[in-house]
Amino acid sequence: MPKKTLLDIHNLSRAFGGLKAVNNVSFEVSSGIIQAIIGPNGAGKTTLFNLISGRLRVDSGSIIFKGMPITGLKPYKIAKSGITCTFQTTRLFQHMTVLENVMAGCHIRSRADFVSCILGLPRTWKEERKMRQASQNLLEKFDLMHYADEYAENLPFGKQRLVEFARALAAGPELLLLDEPAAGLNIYETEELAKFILSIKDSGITILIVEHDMSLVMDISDHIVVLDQGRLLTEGSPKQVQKNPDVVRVYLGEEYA
Amino acid sequence: MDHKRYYPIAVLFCIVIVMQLLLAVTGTSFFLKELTQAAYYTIVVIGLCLLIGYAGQISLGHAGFFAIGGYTSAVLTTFDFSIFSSSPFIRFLHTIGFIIQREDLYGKQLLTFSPMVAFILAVLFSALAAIAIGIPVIRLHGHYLAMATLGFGVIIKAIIDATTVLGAHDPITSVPGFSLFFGLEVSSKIPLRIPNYYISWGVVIIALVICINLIHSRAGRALRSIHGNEVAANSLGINTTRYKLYTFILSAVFAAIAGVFLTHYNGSIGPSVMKSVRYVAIVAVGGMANLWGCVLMSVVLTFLSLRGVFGSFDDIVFGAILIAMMLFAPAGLLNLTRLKLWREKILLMIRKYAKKDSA
Repeated sequence: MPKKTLLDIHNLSRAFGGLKAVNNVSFEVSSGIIQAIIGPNGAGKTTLFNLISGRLRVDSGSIIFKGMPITGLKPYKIAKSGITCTFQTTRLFQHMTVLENVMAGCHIRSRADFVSCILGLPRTWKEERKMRQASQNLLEKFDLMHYADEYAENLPFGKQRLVEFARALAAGPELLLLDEPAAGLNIYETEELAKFILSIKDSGITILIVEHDMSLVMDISDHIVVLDQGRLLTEGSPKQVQKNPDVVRVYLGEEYA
Repeated sequence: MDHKRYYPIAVLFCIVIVMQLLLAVTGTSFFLKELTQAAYYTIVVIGLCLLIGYAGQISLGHAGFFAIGGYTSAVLTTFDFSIFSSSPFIRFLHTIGFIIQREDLYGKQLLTFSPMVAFILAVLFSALAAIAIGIPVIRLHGHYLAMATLGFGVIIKAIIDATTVLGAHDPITSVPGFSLFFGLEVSSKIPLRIPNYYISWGVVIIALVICINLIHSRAGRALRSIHGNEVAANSLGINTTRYKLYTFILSAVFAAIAGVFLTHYNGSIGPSVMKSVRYVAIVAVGGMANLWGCVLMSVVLTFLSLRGVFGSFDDIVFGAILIAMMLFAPAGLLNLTRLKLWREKILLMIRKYAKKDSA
């Protein structure tokens, strides 16, 4: 069954001085799957993420999301179009409570403008209650409800990561970018994380994930893209990628290939 | 539950009334003058508390907006337009009531703007200035923004010092009273001292209601998330530049309104109003993102300063406060997280002693 393409990356390049961090990379992400991007350090994975989410300027090439070009758009506009992300090092709003963090995630799903917020119009209050309820539901789902009124900075690291997940989901994305979500998590937390990612996929959200934990990647991904030194090395199902001699070479060295 | 957030305002309202009665009973009503002036300075502090404490954007030039408001109002209500009385535009403004004929202290007939129109123009003017300055500089971060806004304050000071219409190094005096509604008038006349006290605190309360509405709303959360992590805020679809600009404009308008009211209340305005650092120092002592801490500190410190308690060390005191804050409590003295920590420590100590006693 041919699947609908959600994200289409076409001949994307970005250089830092003489270093071609992303070099003429093209691939597609089908709707409703978990797709992983792997590769050794310096392969250009995080740069690629920053290009997709608009935090870095694209040198050449295009990014098409839902048939619309999003190349060169500001990050907040890309988020509005339906792409949100989590970060390699969590970037929670430390001095806001967990609930407020998730409610901030609801930003694009609510309407109240600056002036009606200042005036405290009844409809802003109504919307506020709705967003609070939606955020509480999300926290409940992530089993974080007892942390709701705690400042984000006081949470253990693994929980902070979950809050960041909840915040990204609160925006109601169609495509979720996860940048090394298992980094710094212990083996149990990683297992828990895998379950979460699968449940997010089941709710119909497409996931693009950069991850170093190979067992996690092989367990949950439907499709894997391998980058090496800014270039696309190969792509395919986890099984195909594991068997590919090129992949074995870049990860383990020439003698194992 | 949503109404709970307004309770502190009701408390403030009671304190304002009790204070006035207390001063009346003790026969020290002359303190009302400084309390009124302190109220107007507090409005500047409230706006700056939003900008620095909640949105995390520092401004070292907010006295500039205060001056734009105050000076615009002072010039428009004191400058005699009768030299242009042949101009059809001035005649038109006269017929629609924007320009009025009034008598000055010596019985001379003047053509000046009505204070209400001058007020609206002053606020509009400073909002436009905030937009003009804000659009280029609000993208800057940290000390770059601080320096740029500092530059703005310096420019405003230089303009005032070099413009004869603005009185140059001298203050503009004999600014008329500002008639509001129901016969209320903002002016320095002694019999109007009590109503003026209530007017000033009424304006503070309106400013506080606006702030509280904002803080507990979608926009307020957006501001605080920008302070928390701008990259993350952007990734959630928050147009960070726009929210920063809106807050910058709002705080500038607060400063301008305070400037207009205080100018009418004092009956004058001079170049000594350029006290940006003082406001920043007050916000720092108040605990940055602590609205009530800022209000408390503003009233106390400004009152003491206006009473002349610090004598000729006035500016030095505020400078020293700022230095001390940056050294020992860069997150602000009455910072909410800090206060919470202290409370927990004290509770722990009490519990420890209680245990010892029972044992």
